[in-house]
Amino acid sequence: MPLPSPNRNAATLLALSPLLAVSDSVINALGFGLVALLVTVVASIPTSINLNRYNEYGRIAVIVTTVAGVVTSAMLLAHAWFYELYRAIGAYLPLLIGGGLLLSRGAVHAPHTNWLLFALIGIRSGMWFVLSLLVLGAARELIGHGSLLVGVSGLPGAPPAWMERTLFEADYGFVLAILPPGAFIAMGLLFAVRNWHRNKDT
Amino acid sequence: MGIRPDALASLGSRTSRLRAAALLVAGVVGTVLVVAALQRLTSERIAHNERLWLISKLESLVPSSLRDNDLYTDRTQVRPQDLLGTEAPVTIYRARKNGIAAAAILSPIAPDGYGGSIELLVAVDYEGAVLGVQVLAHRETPGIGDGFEPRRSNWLQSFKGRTLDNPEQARWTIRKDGGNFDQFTGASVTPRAIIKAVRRALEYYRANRETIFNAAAQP
Repeated sequence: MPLPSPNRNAATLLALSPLLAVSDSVINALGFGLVALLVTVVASIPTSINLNRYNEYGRIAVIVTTVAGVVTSAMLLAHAWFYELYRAIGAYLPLLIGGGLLLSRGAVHAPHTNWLLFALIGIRSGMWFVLSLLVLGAARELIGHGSLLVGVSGLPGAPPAWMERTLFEADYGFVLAILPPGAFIAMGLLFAVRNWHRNKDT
Repeated sequence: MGIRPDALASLGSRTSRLRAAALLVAGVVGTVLVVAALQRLTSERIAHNERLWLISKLESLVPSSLRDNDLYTDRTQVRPQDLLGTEAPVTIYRARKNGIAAAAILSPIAPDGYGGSIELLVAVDYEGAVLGVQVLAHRETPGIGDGFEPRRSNWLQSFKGRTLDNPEQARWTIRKDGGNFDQFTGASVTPRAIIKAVRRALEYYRANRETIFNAAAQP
């Protein structure tokens, strides 16, 4: 998710917030982010091919059905072939539909015809999204649970268990970090950092 | 929200509008068909995954020294109405050794969790002492209500060895209510619900033990 410029609609920001539910640990963020990336790329292909035929309303219909179809397919595939991952993040995958729709909002108004360009833009948005989720996930897991990457051995490809690090035994940690308000706060902090970085260059 | 006149005009001739509409319908139908096909293709594998997961849960509840039968297939369904938390049929898995009843795993529901129903597995040995409790599904608040999760605490272990008389009935609740069971910090609704459901499962078991083991297997 490209961190929005001041011009972007604040509603877009808020509407993406359900996705914050999934960033409460590195594992969940990573798994979810990868699925999101995949969905973005796959969905962009049929979408871009069609868009120019339609006016805005038609485009919305195309985008909605394509994103919904791709996410549902991803869920089925995950449930069947990546069961551990599905157990971890499966409940949040439908949120991708909302997220995907918002990310492609620009396409409704100014569609590209070149599917490759479309896919690349999708990948770029997707990468930002994964990165933001990872940062959020790491920060929230660290503060909230006192650990990093716990559960990574459950991901497909089975990274070794030594990658899991428990930095401190937190009986309760700082619970706020892993609850939704904590996600908003962390998100706000991320924005603050980004704005600070921007302003210092001007 | 009316359609702006120029929105339609931008599409060009009637033919091209019709063609676009037809394409859209075809696209939607196509998407639905693809998803439906995928669902067909994956349903078996999904059922397999779910079954394996459940079996691993069942087997972890009853030590293998107590059983030599197939836990998963030696099951029966009961309609306990109240005691097991639901009006739907509840599955009970039986463990036997040398054909003799050794343990049972009930799958009650705790209907009064904070976020809704909590699906449980309660394993009891033949005499009615708890062998273990696991949570299959829940919607409790992460970070607060999910203190029973094994990655968070050993709370579920505190049920091991308990019976209807250990502790006595009045103490089958959280400490805050004068009972023997810990509650996880900041949450009382969730542990109360689970404790109540476990106790009722024990009561059901005591009242229906013979029926449970003698009923024919219904895989």
